[in-house]
Amino acid sequence: MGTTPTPSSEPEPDPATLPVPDARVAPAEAALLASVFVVAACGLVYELAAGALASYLLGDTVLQFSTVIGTYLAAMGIGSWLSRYIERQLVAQFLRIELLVGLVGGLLPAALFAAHSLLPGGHGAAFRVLLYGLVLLVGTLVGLEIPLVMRILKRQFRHRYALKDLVSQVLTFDYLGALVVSVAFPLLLVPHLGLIRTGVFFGLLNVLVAAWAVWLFRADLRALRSHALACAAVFGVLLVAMWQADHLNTWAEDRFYGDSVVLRESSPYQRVVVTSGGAGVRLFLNGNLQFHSRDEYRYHEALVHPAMAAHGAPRQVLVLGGGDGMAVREILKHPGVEKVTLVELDPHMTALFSQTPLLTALNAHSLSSPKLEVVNADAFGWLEGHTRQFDVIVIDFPDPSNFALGKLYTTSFYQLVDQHLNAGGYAVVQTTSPLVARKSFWTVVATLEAVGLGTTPYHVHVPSFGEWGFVLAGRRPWRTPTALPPGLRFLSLEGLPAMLQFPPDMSKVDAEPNRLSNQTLVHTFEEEWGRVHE
Amino acid sequence: MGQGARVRPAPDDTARRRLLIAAASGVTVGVGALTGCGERPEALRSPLAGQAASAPAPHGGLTGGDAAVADRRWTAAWVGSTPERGHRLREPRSGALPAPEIQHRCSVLIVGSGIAGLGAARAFAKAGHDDVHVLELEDQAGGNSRAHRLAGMACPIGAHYLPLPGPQAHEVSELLHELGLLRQVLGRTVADERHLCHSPQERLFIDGAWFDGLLPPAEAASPTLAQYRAFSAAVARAQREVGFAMPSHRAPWTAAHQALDAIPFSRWLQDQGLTDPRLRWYLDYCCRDDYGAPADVVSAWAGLHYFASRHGFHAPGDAESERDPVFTWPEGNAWLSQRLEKGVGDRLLVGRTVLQVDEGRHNVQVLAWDEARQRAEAWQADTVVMAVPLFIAARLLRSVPAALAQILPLQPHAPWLVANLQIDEPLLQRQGAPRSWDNVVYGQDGLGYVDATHQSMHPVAGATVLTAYHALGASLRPELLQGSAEQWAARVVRSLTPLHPDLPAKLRQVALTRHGHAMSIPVPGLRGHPALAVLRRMRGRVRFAHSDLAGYSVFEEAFGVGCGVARQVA
Repeated sequence: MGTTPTPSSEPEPDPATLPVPDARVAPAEAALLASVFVVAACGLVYELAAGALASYLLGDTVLQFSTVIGTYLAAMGIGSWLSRYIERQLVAQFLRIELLVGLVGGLLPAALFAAHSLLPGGHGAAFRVLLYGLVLLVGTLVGLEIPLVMRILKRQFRHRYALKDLVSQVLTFDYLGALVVSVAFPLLLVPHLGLIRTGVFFGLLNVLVAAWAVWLFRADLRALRSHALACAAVFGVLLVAMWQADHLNTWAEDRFYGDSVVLRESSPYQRVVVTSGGAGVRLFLNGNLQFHSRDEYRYHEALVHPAMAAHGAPRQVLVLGGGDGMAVREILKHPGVEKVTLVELDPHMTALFSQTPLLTALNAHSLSSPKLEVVNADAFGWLEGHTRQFDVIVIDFPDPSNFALGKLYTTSFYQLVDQHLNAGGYAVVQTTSPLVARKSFWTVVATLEAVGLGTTPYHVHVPSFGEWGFVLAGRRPWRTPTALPPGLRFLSLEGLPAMLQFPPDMSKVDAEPNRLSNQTLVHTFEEEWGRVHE
Repeated sequence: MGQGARVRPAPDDTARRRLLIAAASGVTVGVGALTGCGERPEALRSPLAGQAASAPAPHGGLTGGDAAVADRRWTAAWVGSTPERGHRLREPRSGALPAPEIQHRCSVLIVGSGIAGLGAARAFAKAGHDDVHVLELEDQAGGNSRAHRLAGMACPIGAHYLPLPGPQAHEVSELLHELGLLRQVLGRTVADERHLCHSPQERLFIDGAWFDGLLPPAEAASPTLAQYRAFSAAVARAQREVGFAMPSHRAPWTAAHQALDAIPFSRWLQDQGLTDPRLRWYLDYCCRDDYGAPADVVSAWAGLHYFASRHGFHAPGDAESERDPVFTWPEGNAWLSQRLEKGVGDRLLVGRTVLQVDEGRHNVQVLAWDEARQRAEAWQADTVVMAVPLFIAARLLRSVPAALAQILPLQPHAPWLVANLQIDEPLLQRQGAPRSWDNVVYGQDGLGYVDATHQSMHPVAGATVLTAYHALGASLRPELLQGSAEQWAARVVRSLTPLHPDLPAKLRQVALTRHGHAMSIPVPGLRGHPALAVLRRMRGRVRFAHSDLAGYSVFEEAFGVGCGVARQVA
């Protein structure tokens, strides 16, 4: 940050305004040192926020953090260099810079969010220009600040400071501010405030430092009023941003889902979002697409009918998961069904899909059927606590993307399923994509076989998801059914045998059964889908 | 994530965008991963015992922690042990024993209902003896295998897992078959996987992140890895050339054993050139975890026995590196003790403090204090099984056998503190390996914590109980007895806060259990002392059945010795 030259052109302060030599720390001095602390803290927050956002949006954490930090530090260098050209009105310039840092830095995360939502996909370059432009600007301004503070201190307290003391004092506070923030940012700020509000919060701190400086130097400042007004204005803008952060977030979410969001709720288990647009209705849970009304019939017909029709006369049917009621809708197309039991963990889901007109139109009011019993419980616990047996069990769980969900794809779970199957009953399991997650798919097959069940794996194409797999399991070999219920849009008796054919890129691979004690499936699944997301 | 949800990628979806939204709205995200800079919390190195030791005065040791105590949202209480009952025995025998108000008679009386006592009771019943009674000092049977409940959730207050029994632990195998945990399928023994510890089992916090497994990670071709391999080879050599078994008395005791038993484990490691800090920390952790004392206190025999009697030691990358399966339950080994207890039925009497055991020519007279009714009762039995630690047996017996008197000064016991922490919602996770059953911090003196709901099949993490274990040095025993639950709880919380900064906010209550004399420490010279073998072989009306006879405390030893006594008598 360089030495502190005292150019001859710098106006000599009027001796009358020089502070009286005093061993005590003057308020102005304390304020300036505190401002160094805050300025350093704010600067680091903007830098960290930009780095975190860049890694989220562009991926490759190491690359983004290094380039953002590098740009930021270089910009600070530019700022320090530029500071030599500020020769007059140091305090006023300091105030202006401080306010500008607060405004630009404080709104930096919000601006990046907004830009990312506004720029259509594939405009990474434009986003990068904005990102590095803002980082450069904030870095330059922060780089200007510290030399200015040093010069102000030197000027005001020249009787007290040797150069070594000044540099030591200022840099100590500079680095300490950085330390506090580097600890607080991941542990306190982001978890509690979120990135947008963290940025705005530190912007407000910058403004407060500026306001303090206005008060302290009220005697020296020329256009005191306009400085105060500027402080108030920036403060106001940031307050509004603080207050509106949730709106920005909602708006960003709308942009993300593409269509207009018609329903947005949070249950203790998940965030439910339903969108509606020209192409139809889509359901997202925690941001993952669950169905698209355009092609969900392909998925649900394929999930339900091969087992139901092959059984011949299913009367008692169990659905595990599937709170959207779509699978139940298909099951009820078999008139012989006497009772359907739906075990869904999230009461929020079943309530939504039995009450919201947009959604009940999709599942044909299946959740209001008198044949249906809805149980909101976890499937494993419910199966352990009941002895009822079923002709068909439809298992429609989320994919095994973590260890808790992975437990629902283990030998222990399928043993329990087996105990709840009637003689001659079938279970069917939705089993991720055999094309993307080939080994995961065949791991589920191996797991079902490990408990003594015979399996019939099959797959269909669902445009919204891609190639999707299912595994049918039972003690009785599966045979092609002779009849399907009327009114199906996708499944046909002629089409069924083709679903059983696995081309070489999806064909069987050796896999270990997935057990509670090893959870191989979760590792495999993570690896296979991870490759897609890279 | 509900079960109605399928996780599928939307065609235009990127995972990063989702994270973005979560981060923007202030939803808690993995904070370590967020910044890409996991700091190394040096605070972790201030261990519980260290803090306590540095300021042993009741008011000290909490500097800097008092604030946390003052604005805390949780409560703390002692549970599970009533030290005043046992300590009644320390009062001088002034002949002032209370006069019995009631007289009982039975064929066999078992004093103590830990795993040894319950194992003996079960074995007697199997042999056709039905006139067997068990007296227990506490209000709950099970000894070190007892449980507690917090907010409806079961949690252990002592031992919390049982390794899959090896070939020599046939009594344990037989019990597990009876309980349905083991089955024979086509000539192979198959375990019920629901009761085996689910994956992910263990993780270690080191270098600012969680790593899978408890062995500190070692880079390829590093000196640490070389030392891991060297120790692995040394264990294999000991298994081959010296011979170890579980329970330990099933292997012959030779001069080689005697030599190992004569020196501390740390010295043996030094002699072998095994000095790598990571290896030494891990071995020290193992000793403290199983024996309640570090590697420079336990004997080399004990240190090797830990590995050689079971699974051996496998360096990372070895062919056989898969970890040994263990059975575990939310309530820990109380799952087993409660089932053993059920078999004893109403012949188990809790809240009975035995005051004196007097061996006569024709029978044994036992005087017990009924804590509930506050009256003394006399028992007359043909045989009494002392299923209590040996130092307690010595206090109870009117005439102390010479072998017992010999062993007492050689057998220290380790005090333990077990803290159950009830939390409202899952804790934030630092970067690295996901939530696991056993969670240990490298370099810390604490033994980490286990998650009582780890075995739950519920697909969404929620409220749970974390059980933190601390093997304390004997010097801390007085403070453990006198200190307040709040002070000790604050220490435990402070030792975990660097890992989980959000713990104090989510913590509701802490139930602490103090085991003043939790387990025998296998110090040099103890296991090989002939007096232990003499006590094991005693053939009078008073028999000894406790894991103390093996010099250290594990389920297999306690259960085996209980069964053995019943076999001899029956």
